[in-house]
Amino acid sequence: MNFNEMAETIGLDEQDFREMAELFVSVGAADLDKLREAYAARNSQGVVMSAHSLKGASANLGFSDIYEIARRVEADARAQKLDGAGEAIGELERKLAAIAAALGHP
Amino acid sequence: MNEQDVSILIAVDDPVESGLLAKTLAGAGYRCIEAVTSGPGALAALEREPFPIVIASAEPAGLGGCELCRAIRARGAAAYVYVLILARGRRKALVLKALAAGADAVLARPVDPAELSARIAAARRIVDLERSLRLTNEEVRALSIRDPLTGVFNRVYLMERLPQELKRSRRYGRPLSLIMCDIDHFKTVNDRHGHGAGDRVLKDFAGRLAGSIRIDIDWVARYGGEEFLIVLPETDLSPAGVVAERLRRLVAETPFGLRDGGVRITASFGVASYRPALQSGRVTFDQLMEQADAFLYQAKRAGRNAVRGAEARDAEAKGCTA
Repeated sequence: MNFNEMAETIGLDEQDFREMAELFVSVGAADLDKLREAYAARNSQGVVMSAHSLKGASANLGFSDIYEIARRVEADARAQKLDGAGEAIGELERKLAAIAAALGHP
Repeated sequence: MNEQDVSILIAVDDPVESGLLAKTLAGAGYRCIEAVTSGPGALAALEREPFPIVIASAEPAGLGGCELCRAIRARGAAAYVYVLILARGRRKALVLKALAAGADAVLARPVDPAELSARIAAARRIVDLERSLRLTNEEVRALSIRDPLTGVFNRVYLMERLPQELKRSRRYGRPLSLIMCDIDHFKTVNDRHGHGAGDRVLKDFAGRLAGSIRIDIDWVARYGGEEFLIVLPETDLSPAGVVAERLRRLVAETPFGLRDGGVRITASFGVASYRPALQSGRVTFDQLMEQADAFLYQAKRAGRNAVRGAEARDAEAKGCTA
């Protein structure tokens, strides 16, 4: 994960970008918790909202793989399709953990 | 205005997006940035500080961007607020809705930093233009109601404001007094010392009047050449007479400084008071002014350097000498 390059793409310096990525990791974790709960309750409206929030924040920072997964989950949930969400949640968890690790989290 | 001076309000609920906007703007040199996460929070911030630029997402919590925009326009604040709405994609319907709600521009998300900076620079042009226009208008208005020589209000303002004062006095049953005054033998000042000296005397005279009445309640207007009118709201005849007498002495007892030494002048004063409670018929502002003028001429006939006056209801009665 090249933070320097990603920072440049959105016009920030690396330190500012890391700060925003930290924020994204903590906000993203909260969104992911909500997504997990909504999925467990088969609450498609809740899935739409938490996936939408993850989608927006990842798009802003250029985490395009998270954006793609969240976009798909949101679109499916809007069509009342929740089948793929379980797997997607696992993927999202791994992606967020990878960002946290790259930021130096233990 | 330097870039650092313009304050920008960000009303975006996503903390990552809000933080990014703030960092991008800070990187472009904007130092005064405040971020809130809801529409009502934005309105509260605008009550505290007049942000000229607001960036709002289409859906901040509690109040959507379009509703926030409408609320900002409905406030009708003195200064213009430039509103930039952030919308996912460039869907035509949303753009049209935002513009119809009073937004100045719609920016696609995720926000491109170069486009954001360019948009804010464009917003600055509008905000700066509006500001200079507003300041110029205020300046023109301030100049248009003042007498350029003496700095007191002019006749145009007098004719605009006096009817309002009288209306207010009538509506709330409160007294109102007018003091009409005129410098005695002003022509001789001009003849002996020249018109420049005459102007300086007028300036000093107006300054003495304006400086010895209640600030923000009483006011002075130049009615004609060397004739001035003092308007005293919430004031009966007797205290108005006291004011007139104090002014008479202030003029007569201290010489007016001119280059070739001081010159002693005097002035005559006519006081007319209106008391709605005692007044059965309607008194108009020009009648009240005529009465003050009539008492001024009584004071002149009585030998000048004098005060004469009465309440409007018994204008025919013997004038008091305060």
